Amino acid sequence: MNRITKDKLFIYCTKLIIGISLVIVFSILLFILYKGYKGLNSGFILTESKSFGAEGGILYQIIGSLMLTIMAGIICFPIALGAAIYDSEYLKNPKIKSITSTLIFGLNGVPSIIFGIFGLIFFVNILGTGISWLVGSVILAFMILPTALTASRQTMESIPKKYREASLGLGLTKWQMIRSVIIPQSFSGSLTGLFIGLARAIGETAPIMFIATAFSGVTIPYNFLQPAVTLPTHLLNLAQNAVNPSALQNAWSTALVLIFLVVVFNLTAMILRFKFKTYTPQR
Amino acid sequence: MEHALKVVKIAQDKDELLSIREIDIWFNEHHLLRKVSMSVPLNSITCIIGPSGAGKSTLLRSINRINLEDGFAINGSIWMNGKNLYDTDTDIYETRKNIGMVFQQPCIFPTSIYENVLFGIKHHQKLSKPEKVNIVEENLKAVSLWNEVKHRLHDKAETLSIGQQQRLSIARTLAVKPTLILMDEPTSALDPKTSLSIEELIVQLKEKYTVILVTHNIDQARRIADKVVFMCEGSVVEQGTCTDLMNNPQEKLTKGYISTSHCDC
Repeated sequence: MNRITKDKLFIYCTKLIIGISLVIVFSILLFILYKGYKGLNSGFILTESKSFGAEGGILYQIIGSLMLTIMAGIICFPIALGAAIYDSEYLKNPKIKSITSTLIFGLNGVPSIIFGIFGLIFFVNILGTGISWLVGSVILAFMILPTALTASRQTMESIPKKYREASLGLGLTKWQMIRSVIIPQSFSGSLTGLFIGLARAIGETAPIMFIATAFSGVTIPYNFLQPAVTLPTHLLNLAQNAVNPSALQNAWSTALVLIFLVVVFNLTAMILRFKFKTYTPQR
Repeated sequence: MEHALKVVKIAQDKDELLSIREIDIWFNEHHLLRKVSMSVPLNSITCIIGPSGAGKSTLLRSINRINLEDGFAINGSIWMNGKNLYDTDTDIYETRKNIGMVFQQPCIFPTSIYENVLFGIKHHQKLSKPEKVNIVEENLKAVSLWNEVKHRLHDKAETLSIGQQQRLSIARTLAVKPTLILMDEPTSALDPKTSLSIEELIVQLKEKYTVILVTHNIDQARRIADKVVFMCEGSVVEQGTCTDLMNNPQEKLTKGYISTSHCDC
């Protein structure tokens, strides 16, 4: 086999691999769409669930999921931004930099159930918070922290050195330089990372099922220390009662709504990345 | 403090703005500059010439202390207005403000022309809107850019040509009112015509400012310099007035470099 044939074969192989991946993803999506759309109507979205979810809608589950996810974003973003600033602008020792990177990647690889167990032991048992949606948000925030932090840091490190030097050369302090150059120019990249993390967080069940959610009998929490109902745990509950055709239909429709929300967060991340891409190399 | 000032007044000539005294610079184990000494007269253009790797940019960047990276070490002193810039009590940010820097590639922030001019000064003092407008106009006029951009001050600065961007960089530097302006090959990225217009601007600037210019271009140094410093392998080989050094170099290395643009050091 000559070089040109090998080259063509390699291209075909990569096309085949991407094709298989797309077929799998779209098959799952189309199947859920096919199964879920039958039960989807305004009543399903705008009413509360009844009979442990077998009847009624998922209004409170949607609100609960959004509350947990948005609060996780609010908690995660400043921590990720601050840590990324320290890592890219102040931390110069390459050994310590390498250790922190390894730890961050390590945190990303921790199974989500471990976060849930940690939350249960630390917050619920030791601190005695009880089952609280805020605790769930804190745990989700830590879970998505590596994604948000890595995105922020990469955006900051991609800002050319000349911008730092030009601003410092005008007599700006390091903090003034960070405030006027680094943060504005990495903001959209940081937000993109955050939204990618949130897209993952909204679909998580394991980290929140012991510490933040109830399976039923809960409406909208009126303080930080009350549990919420969420889409993933509701889906789990319905799947366990799948012998009931009505519960099974609601499970498919809930899955469709959950996927829609995940897609919305991912699309937001994509829009932020393309629309507000500020640091293009200059001539 | 008073004592230090008196000492310096004796040590520095009255028409001398900057005095570099026997500085050695290391970056990690690399000895980049060796016993470099030079003086910079007030309201003049001092050109530092020499082959690549001679240490010209290292010297320039050590003047406004922008090269304080890990592994950087300096021995010796740089005096300006009676103050050693490397004294522990020297305000590094004030030093950088007083010593503006223009880089090889125009460095334009991704914002409007108007905001680019104000980028540095707005961090040093509170400005009212009329003051901002005045500063923008005054400094864009100083770099002969006002007439070209006065109707589109709020356009993105990236829309300017590369020559206009370099003028804008200079206007931004002037806005913080430096005493000394360091220029690191500011015309090397420009075409010959634009390059000449920047040269004219530099000559105009010396009426109010003192300029140190690093250049590879011997003809450029010949056209605009009052004083020329020739560097090779981290050392100053020869320095003097432009006329003396260009027409009657004393060192063999200088003669070779001026006639061939190559250095055998």
